[in-house]
Amino acid sequence: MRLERSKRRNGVLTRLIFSFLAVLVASMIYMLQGVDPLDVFSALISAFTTKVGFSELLVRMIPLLLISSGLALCFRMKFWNIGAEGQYIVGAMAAFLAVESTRQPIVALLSAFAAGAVLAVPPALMKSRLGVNEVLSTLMIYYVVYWVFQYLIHGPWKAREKVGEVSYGGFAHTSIIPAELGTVPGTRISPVMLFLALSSAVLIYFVMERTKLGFEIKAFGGNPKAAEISGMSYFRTAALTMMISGGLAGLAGAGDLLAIQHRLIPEFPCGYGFTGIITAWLGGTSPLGLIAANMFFGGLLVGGEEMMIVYSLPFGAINVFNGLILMFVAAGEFLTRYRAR
Amino acid sequence: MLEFVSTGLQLAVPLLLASLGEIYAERSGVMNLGVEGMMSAGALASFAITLKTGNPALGLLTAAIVGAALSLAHAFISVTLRGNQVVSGLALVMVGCGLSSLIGRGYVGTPLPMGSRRIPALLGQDLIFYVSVTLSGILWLVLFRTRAGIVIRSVGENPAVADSVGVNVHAIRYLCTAFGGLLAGAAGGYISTIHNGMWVDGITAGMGWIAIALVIFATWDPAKAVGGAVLFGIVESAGYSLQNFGISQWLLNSLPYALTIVVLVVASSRSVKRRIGAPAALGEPYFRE
Amino acid sequence: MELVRMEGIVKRFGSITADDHVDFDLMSGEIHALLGENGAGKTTLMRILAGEISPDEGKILIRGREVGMLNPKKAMDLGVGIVHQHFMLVEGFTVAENLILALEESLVGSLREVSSRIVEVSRAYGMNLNPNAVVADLSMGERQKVELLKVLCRDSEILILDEPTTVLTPDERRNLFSTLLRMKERGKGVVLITHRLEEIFQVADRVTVLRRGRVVDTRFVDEVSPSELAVMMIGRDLPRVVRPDPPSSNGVVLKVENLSSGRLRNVSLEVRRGEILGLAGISGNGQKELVESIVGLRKVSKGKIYLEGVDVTNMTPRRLYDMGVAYIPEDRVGEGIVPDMSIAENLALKFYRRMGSLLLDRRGIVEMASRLMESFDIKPKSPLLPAGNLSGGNVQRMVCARELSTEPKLLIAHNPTRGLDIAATSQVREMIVEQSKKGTAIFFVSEDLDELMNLSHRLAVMSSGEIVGVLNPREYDPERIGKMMAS
Repeated sequence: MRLERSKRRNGVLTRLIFSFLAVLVASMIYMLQGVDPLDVFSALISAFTTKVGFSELLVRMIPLLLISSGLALCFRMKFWNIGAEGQYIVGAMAAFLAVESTRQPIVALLSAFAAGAVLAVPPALMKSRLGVNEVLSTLMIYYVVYWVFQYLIHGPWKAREKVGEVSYGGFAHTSIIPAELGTVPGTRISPVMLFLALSSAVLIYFVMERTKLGFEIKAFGGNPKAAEISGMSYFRTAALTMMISGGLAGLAGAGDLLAIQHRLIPEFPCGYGFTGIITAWLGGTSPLGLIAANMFFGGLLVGGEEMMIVYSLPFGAINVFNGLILMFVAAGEFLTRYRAR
Repeated sequence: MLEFVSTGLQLAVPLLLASLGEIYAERSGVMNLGVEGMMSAGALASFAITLKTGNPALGLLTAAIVGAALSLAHAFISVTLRGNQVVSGLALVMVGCGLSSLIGRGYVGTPLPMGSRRIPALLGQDLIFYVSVTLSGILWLVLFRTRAGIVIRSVGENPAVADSVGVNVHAIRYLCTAFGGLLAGAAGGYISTIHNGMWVDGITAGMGWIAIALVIFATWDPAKAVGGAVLFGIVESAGYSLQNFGISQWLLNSLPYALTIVVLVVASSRSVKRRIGAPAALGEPYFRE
Repeated sequence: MELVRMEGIVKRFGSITADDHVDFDLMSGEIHALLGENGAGKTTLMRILAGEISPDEGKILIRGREVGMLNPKKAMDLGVGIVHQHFMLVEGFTVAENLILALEESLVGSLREVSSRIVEVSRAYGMNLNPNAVVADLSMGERQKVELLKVLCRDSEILILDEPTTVLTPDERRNLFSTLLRMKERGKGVVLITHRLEEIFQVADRVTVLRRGRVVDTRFVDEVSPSELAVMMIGRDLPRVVRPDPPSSNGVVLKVENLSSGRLRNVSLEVRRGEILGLAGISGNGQKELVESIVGLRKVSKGKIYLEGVDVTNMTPRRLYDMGVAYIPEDRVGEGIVPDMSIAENLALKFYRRMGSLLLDRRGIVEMASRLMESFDIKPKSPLLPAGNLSGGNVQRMVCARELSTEPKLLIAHNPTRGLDIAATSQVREMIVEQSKKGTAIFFVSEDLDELMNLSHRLAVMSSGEIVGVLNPREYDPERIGKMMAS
């Protein structure tokens, strides 16, 4: 046990160093594109030091933490759920329907969890029965959900706007929901969602270390054949893991709808599901690791968005950062795994 | 009707090119999920060069080189550093898409002059179409009828055996991964330069992922990839036509992805039955004991 | 002419010395047997000659010339060819593709040319091989021929065969030996690594005996007796393993009825309480399918499996375990353990379900593990160490501890002693015998005929997915069983 733990600490340190290297390389690329790295740096710093910056950082950390906690569980099982973005969208959609009909935020949260969980099961089924690659299945389901979402808010769910007596179809978005989650005055932070997000990180640690499900996840992640011979069911374990993961992503979608956006807009899916892949990989199943990784990325997103506006860069450009960090950390794994021998 | 088929065949070209490249990478044991990123970067590179020089051939060539260069990063992580190929591939998607989005921001909305998009055509299809179909034949021949193909497949099936007879496993894997990047880059270039004639952010729209699904559908066989690519091209082009019948464009957009799920299920259940699967050492790093 | 001379070869792996100042030589036109128990250093010595392992000390002369540092390529060029015990073939390839991979240098060889050369060379040595057959479909004997062809097509003068007969039927063995004699006539030198005495008297000219990495002696086969060799090999007389007494009670525990699926054809058998039923057969004749069907890892399309009269056909491994079925899988590292998990967790891999409720009883697991590690002698005694750090013998003791601790009604053991050292082998055999005395029915699948004949109360023989006969101890005769295995 001691051996393992020392290994893990070692891993966190190398991950930090390699993330830093990635940020350096990314800054150089931005510099070549005419962005002053000092601006980037100060934007990043202000996300952590100013009150507005930090509260916005937390706003982004909440969905990221929910999503990456679930993903970390999947990754421990070596089940590559890449479709958290779709589970996030479907959660928001379910919350929208639920709150429209019941006006109860709590019902909305529960239905969002259920919707995300249900959407996450088919890839587990397809993989266990037919060996379908889950990277492709989860991603393709995301694409389908994305376009169905766009169809709904451009069509059946589109709000009619009224000017005087005349109602007409205006911009593509839904009507404003009839109930919402409260936020801390002066910020967009919902205490309920913040609590749920922090609990999710603790929850998955508890699942991994203290429950039989966690034991099974570890076994399938380490040697699927031995786990199967021991009588564990791949489908059951993968489906439960995916339901937790999908459910948490769905919850994140509901939270953003109920506390922040209050209506669904075309830009609602903004990539938390993909950024969550990186933070899950960085943080592992340790609560502190997850919280730290997601705070860092929350800050990165806040600083990044500011840069995008100042330099009028496209939103996708932030992926240079994300991708390089993931790539460098993947490369850095070499050191943690092979130095011990 | 004829135009609908002809559009379908044109849409099949980038899918075919990208999946041919991925077939070679995976046959050598390297799973490169970064196709989408390499295509995206290739699309921008080709567009920018063509816009500047007016020479689409030069554009496509640059795209291929850019794709290959990006794929080498993946090869380094997964072959030399024995890193996680899924993670590295995803990272490559982000880097490729991010870079093209960042660098391409100045090109958004500028159309290519019609003249620089024109390449020789025959029977309604351009030269690249015929080149890609011929290429899939050649790649099939090389893979199954020459010693080079045997070496590539042996590295993907059982690298220890290949190593024992003096094959440089790492070199072959680098080469095949780079070849995959080459074709993925060119495929992206074809979309921006020949097909669309302009650059938009997110131009590849998941085509790279569909190309990877096609590899499974084609059971890692270059000849069979042609059929799969044409199927997807036709379905997509059918989508355009259905729009005229009042079906929502947004719903039709989801069609290729839904079809991919169906294809994955069908191809996987078929291969479970017939026991033809992925190369035995796919995704596994190799090192001598 | 002297082809090979190895002098003072030393090779250490960590704290273990595999070869300790070994001298060895090989003449042209001779078959030189290398005899010794598992782990005596035979294979290591020959892999050094083939350039696959570099020695720590000593020198190697080939045709009288010192060769310095070898690598596989250089050894090949010097005419050394090795056929490994585990074949180095790509299973999805045809015979021709495998040979092209191994033989051609350039990347643009013609497949047709190689095919005709294969036919030519295989005729010359009395082997019949279809160049277009896929290796996965070939029998072990045929695969070995492909390996031999690889060496012969290269015109190697020095041939090393590592335990070549373990996977062969008696007929295939005779064929192999006649091929070896032909090679000898053509002036090649052959090294035959084996632990079977009878083979030495059938083909070899000289024999070198290794024990624990040291040469005991090198002798001409004509001048030595089998019992003399046995003493040299083991250091004492051949041990007599006592078969356990036949069981007194005779309730049927496992009953397989007309099982057909995949390779299996109409398999029926019974194992009674306290009985050890052996299953003999050449690897790849359906044993794995049969075992996996019984433990619930493989769907059965036709036929029934009963456990104490209850129909358990197609039940999940979990239900079967709960009903008292224990399983020692063939590939103990690949299928038996999760290397990254701790020894305690591996010991609890099946039992964790019965401890605690939804939560994992972590303390209970560690306590149980410490107890099991004590009684099954698993070292080192630290239950929190990752299981991947254990040696082969300890891994197998751990798997046995896990499977036997629950007092199973039925134990399925598939090649449980393969690759273990002498001490671990006898320990595992003892555990199995002890378990049968407690009344557990044991289905014992092995490729080691001696082991099967020594331990089994009855012995079923399998060939091409069929049970071709069930023998009583009086009928145990290697020659007869061999014929049945090949039928």
